[in-house]
Amino acid sequence: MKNKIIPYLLLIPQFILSGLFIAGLINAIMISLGIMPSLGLNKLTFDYYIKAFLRKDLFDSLTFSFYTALVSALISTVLGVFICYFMINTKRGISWIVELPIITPHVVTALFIISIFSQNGFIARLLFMFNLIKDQQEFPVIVYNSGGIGIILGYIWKEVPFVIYFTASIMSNINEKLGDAAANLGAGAGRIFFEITLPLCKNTIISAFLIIFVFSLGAYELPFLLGATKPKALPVQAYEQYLHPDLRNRPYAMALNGIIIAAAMLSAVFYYFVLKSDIDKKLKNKNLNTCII
Amino acid sequence: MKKYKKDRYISGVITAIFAAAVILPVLTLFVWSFTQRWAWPYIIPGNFSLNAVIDVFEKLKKPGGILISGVVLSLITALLSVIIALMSAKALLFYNFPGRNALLFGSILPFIVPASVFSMGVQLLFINLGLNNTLHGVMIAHLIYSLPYALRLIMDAMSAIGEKYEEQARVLGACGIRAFVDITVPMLLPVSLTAFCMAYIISFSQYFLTLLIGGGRVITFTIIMVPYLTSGNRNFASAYSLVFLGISVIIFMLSKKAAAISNRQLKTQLY
Amino acid sequence: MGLVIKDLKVSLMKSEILHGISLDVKDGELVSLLGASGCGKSTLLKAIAGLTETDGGIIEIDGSVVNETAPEKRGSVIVFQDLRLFPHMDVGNNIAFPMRLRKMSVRDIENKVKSLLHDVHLDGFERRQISEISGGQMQRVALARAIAAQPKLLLLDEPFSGLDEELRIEMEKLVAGLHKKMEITTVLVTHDKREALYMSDRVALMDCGNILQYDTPHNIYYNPNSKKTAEYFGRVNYIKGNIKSGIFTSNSGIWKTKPGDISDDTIEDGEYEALVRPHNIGIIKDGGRYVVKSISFMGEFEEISIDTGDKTVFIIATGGYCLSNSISIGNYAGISIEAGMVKFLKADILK
Repeated sequence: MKNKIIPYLLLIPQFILSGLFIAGLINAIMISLGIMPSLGLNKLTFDYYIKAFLRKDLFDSLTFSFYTALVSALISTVLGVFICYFMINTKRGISWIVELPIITPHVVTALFIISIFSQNGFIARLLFMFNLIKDQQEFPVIVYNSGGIGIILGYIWKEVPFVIYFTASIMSNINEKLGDAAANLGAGAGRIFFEITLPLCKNTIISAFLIIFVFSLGAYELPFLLGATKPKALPVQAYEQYLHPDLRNRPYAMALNGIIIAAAMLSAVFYYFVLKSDIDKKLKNKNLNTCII
Repeated sequence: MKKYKKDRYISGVITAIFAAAVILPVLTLFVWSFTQRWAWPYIIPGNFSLNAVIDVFEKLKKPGGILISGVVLSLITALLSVIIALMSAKALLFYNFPGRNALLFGSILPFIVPASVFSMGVQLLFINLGLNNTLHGVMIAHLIYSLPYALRLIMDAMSAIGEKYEEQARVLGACGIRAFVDITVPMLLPVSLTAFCMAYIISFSQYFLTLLIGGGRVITFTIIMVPYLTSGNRNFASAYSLVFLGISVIIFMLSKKAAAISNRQLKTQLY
Repeated sequence: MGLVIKDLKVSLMKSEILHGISLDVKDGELVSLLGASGCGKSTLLKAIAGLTETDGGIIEIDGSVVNETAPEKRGSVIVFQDLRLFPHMDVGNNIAFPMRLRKMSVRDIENKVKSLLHDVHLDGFERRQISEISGGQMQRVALARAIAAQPKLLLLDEPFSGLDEELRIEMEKLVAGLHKKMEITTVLVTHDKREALYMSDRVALMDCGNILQYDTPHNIYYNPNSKKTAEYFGRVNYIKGNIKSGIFTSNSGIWKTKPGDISDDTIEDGEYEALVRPHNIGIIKDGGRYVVKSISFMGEFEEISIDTGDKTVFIIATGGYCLSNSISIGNYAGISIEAGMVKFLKADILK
């Protein structure tokens, strides 16, 4: 007989960790709304959010981060799905190629981008060797580029493998089960991909996109190491405001963080429903198979 | 048949390009790690040196140094993640209780809320709890971020196995805990090891979280590496990256091996 | 002793699946729960074993109420339909599992595994992996493992349904043999009426979370208490009529309700329907006034339908009967009913 108390006992560590996490978020949101009792700020206000859109430096950070996150997430998702579709056809034993970038920390990814794409990086040296450029300065500024090209490149290197990792198992399952059936009915490779594989993997692909989008929106490492001094990415700007000697700047930091949280929450709600419907489906199937029959 | 061959060919080419894009940057690590100076515009470094690599091993050898705060910290975090994920997954999948959906939602949140946001929000709380600037404080912060990955992997596998083997063990005379430990856990061993690796990687890769919660006192790989990178010491940055990446790869491979061996042993143990 | 269930109610996902089941199984008896899929028989099995929460009622195993007892302490072992052999253990370890839980010595376990494997005709299979053995062999390992748990009550959940016919018959014989030898009280869930009738001391026919009838195989077949029960075991002919002082009168004939007795006072006068199995009706070639409508030859037997004017009567005869007696479609024929094999159901109960 299932004891009512068992699930709660099992979840004690989860409760503590989730509790700490939520407490951190609530604290950030409170401060962003102008509530900081230690500084005598007690009035609820949306001023800091409004300022985030009105102050040029803050607004630039906002647009810059949304832009780099969107571009890198879109490219990574499309490329990832595309490569994944081809990779599942090839032999096994190459999974480590996908795992390697996932293992690699972002700070190391930044090092790669610098070593390869900076003005004295590997590509610049290659171009010089073939006489395509005569000087370091002729090589375009990719790494500390104010358009965030270096950051986007870094994210693509990290996230394409993530998308592959995230979608490979469901995609190969679908291909095995339905691809053959569709091919048997006369569908070509392209048709199978767009009409069968893609619609059935839709939830997984969207989840992958959301995860990497929100991650690159809020991650500090790559923009800190590969970004230009202006405009600053959201998390870099937020941390700067956070570290400001005048503690009254903290609400600005938290307002920027609050915007990231809002974007994250929207994605989380979506992701949660996808995850839950999958679990419910599985449990329902299980019940049908073993309980009722 | 012809068409099939063409597909295989395209697949091969695309996979090869992808593999090259992944591997080439990693190769630059090897070159830079053993380089003293690499002047423009040479395509091969001028003089090689072991200085950077020696420095890494000197630091690793020091007792109580970055081996503990860099590697052991992440290993313990990963182990705790797997244990907690097993417990949480069991509760979330096989029990229906008030608050289940809220917890399920809460459990995936760190997946999607960036660590920088969380760390700025929680730093004050950690200071008040006396967790800031401590190893265990950093471990707790890392745990919050590595757990969702472990949980997702283990929940997937556990829901695929379902409760049926545990039910069978129960009716054969095993108590609930025994059934979980003797049946479910060994069946989940391979995925648990994957989850362990994932959690290790997440912990080991954290920079901002470690910086804020560790306050510069808890020295992990990223904390050591970033100053070299920002000051343009590419050879030292590369050497640290190479060694720590190597440790991660070894942990990954050992886990895979361990899964295979333990599986075999379990199957043929003598009563 | 054995198993006693009183007024057991079970709900799954807020809808009631079992509506007050009562059942008693004597010590050493083999009872079948028979019914279509979805009738609640597997749920009943899980409730007995403690894997499903109950809403009300009493479950008693060997004289003690087990409603609040954990599954592992009830002494009831299920062999599930999907067998659930632990994939991470070999055959020997699977069978040893319940014995290890009882902390038997390694030597005792080894001997017991050997003798159990012998009982299920799998000598020498100790070190085989589950993935290496066939479906029928897996079935036998699951059975041996269940017996190794020394159950007070053995619950078999459609254990033979996945097997082809030959293997199924072999497994049924094996289980019947083991049951006879070990005298374990056994409940067998099945949807196969042939299996239920052949294997069991008594059969409980279930439908929509209720037990329709619980009786010996012979009685449940020849003495059904409702049309539903009767029809579950095969086609039935209904003949309307009335009974007066032990004489049944209908359009299809007049006969005594108890052949041999002059008057039968065990049966009340009134409107009745006579239930006659197709194989208890004979065909008379000459002198009939009914028309042969169809003859379906099925090898061992053949099914003949005869139009009596107001209804169709089905008859089962040995295969080839019509051909050898030169009866063909369109012929006139009569019928003869084995009066001793007829069950009378009161008409107002039927409505």
